[in-house]
Amino acid sequence: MRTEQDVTPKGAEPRHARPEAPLPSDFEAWYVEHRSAVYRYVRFRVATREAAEDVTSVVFMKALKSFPRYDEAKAAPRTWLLRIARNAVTDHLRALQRRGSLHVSLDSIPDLVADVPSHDERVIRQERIQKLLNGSRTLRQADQEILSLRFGAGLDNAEIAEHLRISNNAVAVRLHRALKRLRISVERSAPESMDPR
Amino acid sequence: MMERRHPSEEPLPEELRGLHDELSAFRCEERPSFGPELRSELARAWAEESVRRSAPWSRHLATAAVVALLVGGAAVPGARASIVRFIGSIGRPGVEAGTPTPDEAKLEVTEPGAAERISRREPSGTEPATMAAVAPASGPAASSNEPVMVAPEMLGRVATEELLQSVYPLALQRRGVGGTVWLRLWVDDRGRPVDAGISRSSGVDELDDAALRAAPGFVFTPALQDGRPVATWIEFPVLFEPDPTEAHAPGRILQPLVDPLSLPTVPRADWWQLSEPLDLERLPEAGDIADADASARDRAAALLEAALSQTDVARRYGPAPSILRGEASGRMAPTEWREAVSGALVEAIDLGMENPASLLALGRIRIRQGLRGEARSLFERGLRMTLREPSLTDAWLVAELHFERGSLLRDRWLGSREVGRVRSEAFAGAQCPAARLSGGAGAGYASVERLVAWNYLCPTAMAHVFGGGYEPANTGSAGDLSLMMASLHAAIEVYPAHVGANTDLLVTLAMYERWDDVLSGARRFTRVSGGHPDGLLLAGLALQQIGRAAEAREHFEAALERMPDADAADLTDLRELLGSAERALYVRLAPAERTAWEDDYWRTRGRGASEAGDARWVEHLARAAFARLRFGTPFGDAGEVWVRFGRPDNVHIVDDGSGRLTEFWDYGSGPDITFVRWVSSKRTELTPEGRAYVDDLGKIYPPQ
Repeated sequence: MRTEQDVTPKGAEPRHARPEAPLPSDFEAWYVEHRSAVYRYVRFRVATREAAEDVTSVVFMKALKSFPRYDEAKAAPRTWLLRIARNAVTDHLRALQRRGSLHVSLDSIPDLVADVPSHDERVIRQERIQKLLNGSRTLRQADQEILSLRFGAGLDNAEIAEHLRISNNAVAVRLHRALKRLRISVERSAPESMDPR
Repeated sequence: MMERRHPSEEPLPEELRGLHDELSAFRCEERPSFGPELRSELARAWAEESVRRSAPWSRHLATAAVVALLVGGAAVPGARASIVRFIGSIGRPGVEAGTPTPDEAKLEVTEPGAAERISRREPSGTEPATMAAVAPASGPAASSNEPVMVAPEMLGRVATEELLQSVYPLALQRRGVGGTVWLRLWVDDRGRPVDAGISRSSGVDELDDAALRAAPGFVFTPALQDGRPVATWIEFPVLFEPDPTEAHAPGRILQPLVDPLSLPTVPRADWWQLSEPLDLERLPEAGDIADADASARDRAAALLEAALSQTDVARRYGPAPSILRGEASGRMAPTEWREAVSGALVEAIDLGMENPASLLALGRIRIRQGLRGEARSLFERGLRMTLREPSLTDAWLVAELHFERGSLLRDRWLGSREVGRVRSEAFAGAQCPAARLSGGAGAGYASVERLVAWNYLCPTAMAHVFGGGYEPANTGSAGDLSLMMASLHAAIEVYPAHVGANTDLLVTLAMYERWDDVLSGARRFTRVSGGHPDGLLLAGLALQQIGRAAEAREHFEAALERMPDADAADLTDLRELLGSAERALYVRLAPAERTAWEDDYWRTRGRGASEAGDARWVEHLARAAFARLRFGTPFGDAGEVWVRFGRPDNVHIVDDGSGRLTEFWDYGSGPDITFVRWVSSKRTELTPEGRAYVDDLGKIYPPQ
């Protein structure tokens, strides 16, 4: 037995040709505009593509539920969505910690790649990405947050400042320090210990 | 695909600039269908939310109807396109709510562009004659002095869906018979359906009956009139649609795991302590676990006999434990036995006598009959029954159902994991003159024949081709892995000592080389199972892999002590390490003589005298243990190669589109060793070329 959403009725148009059910128009626009940023932000913080999809789904479901209460005066849509995302990521990581598993394997990150044409170079970059992500996960939450906003969600300094409610200068300082700590973390880790295999 | 690069906005020191640029160059490839899928989910959620939010009676009944549509699904165009909208009020001024009258309820069905009245027939002679009136399509319908009505809302959608699934006659599912039944329920002021009727038949009596059987199990919030609970009629469609692929079934039993490569957590206070190092001297005897499982099996067999009590099957084709295992017994031909027993089990289902044990037995028989899809459906049906009636089954039987389902998913996962293809253009620039006539290409991809020929003729060139042209296929294996591991988790969580589930889960983690997790899980498994040898083998394997050979040896020795002699002999068997002449002698020896030969063999190689000698012996046991757990035996082709050469550096698996997978095991220089495996088979066999190559290697480089 299938649910309504799982089936295409006999004689109806193919599923892909059916018009989409409506969302509130503002929300629709947000979804189109900010989904990628939210996904990237989440993906930067969690171990697998599947987890990123789950957490991103949670973010938008929560946002949709709270949408009627959204107050534009309090936060811009992207800021609001990224705040929900931060909480959702925190919940996700806590759940994983409770289950005692925060491992990341190379197998689990084929979707994170560097933009290089050569296959060999791409593989090397993937390993490097793995090391950087593992390194970033040893940093404190504030560092992870700012790195994710910058390199995951793609916010510039001013946008991060708005999101975190701090000054542009403070963002630059925090980013600088987070990068420094990340560099130290990666350098401290011997290659074999960085590689969970 | 997404990409965003960052211009450097603030001056960074030189030593950080490189890191900044590296992080900025990341690309994050989003699954293409993810965005549309999530958008659809959101739209559905919003539609439900909108209905829930909308005001009084009319929209609340719409909620009930929409929920009901979602519960049953609605594939029939008329039903699917319809939204039942209650425009009038059930209780009118002057009419006591709770006393149904023929015209007190009004329903309208709207479809895009036109309205269509639902035709219906009455559930019984005392019920309202019709629900006929029509009101405007939108806007507040009730007059200002009408009482405020709130319609019943269905509670427990998942449970209701499971309930409907459980009453859907299996015989009809198998025959592909489905339909939509319009139910009409009288819901009392406590939200319970106290009377049910068919307002529109599906045309199949069994489906109508099934819907009526399920109806008493539905739970609603009571209708409210001015805030006071009242009884009322509601009407909605229930769709029964056979789904032979069961593509949507997994999520109804278990959600995929967020982190599939994790260990299960059992709700017991000492669970974390159980992963502490084992005190091998104090392990309980292996007999305890066998006894515990035996009593659970007996109870399941008794349950199976109860399902078959209307037939003489258990007497004619039994005993019940054999039927439960799905294994033929007696002198009857296995095919004939399966046909007879499965027929009786199906009959029991049709009589409504099925229970989780009979579904487990039938599922196992179906696997042997090649009906894997139906088998999975049966296991899931059994699991739904255990969810609905937990008192019916004990933990072992529930774990068995989870495990069998997980095994089917595991086979599917193994059939798609790491499968890929090689683009024909990857051969550009590579030279292999002798292979120029080998195989062709299809749709831009190299044929398996060409890959195998290049592998053995020009291995260096082939390594280059694989390096640059191998494309992993998007087979959805991650989803299968997640579902499979969810099933194994569930089996262990309900019955922590389950041997098959623990072994499959830990071997999967071992395939990903999660040795710390393998060690933790194996220690727990060993403890809760009373020292099961497979737990000790897995712990030994993990310890050997993380460089703790001495501890690994102790675990292997403890495992060998607890294994049946024949299994222990398989693990210590030397034949793969011997030259052909020695091997011929060795395999003819009696067991005691073989043991003496093995002792001599390892003693001359330093066992007991040097760390290196011990390590070599331990490595042999580790390889043999993995081969046994992963491939079922250390003696099959895959086991043989694994024991001789260890874990390959890399594996490429090519699907030729016929369900046959060709595996290329890369051991560094020289050709890869090639195997063939059918998607639905657990066996991995050397290709003829692979066999020739392995045999030649044995002659050229005799084992030392």
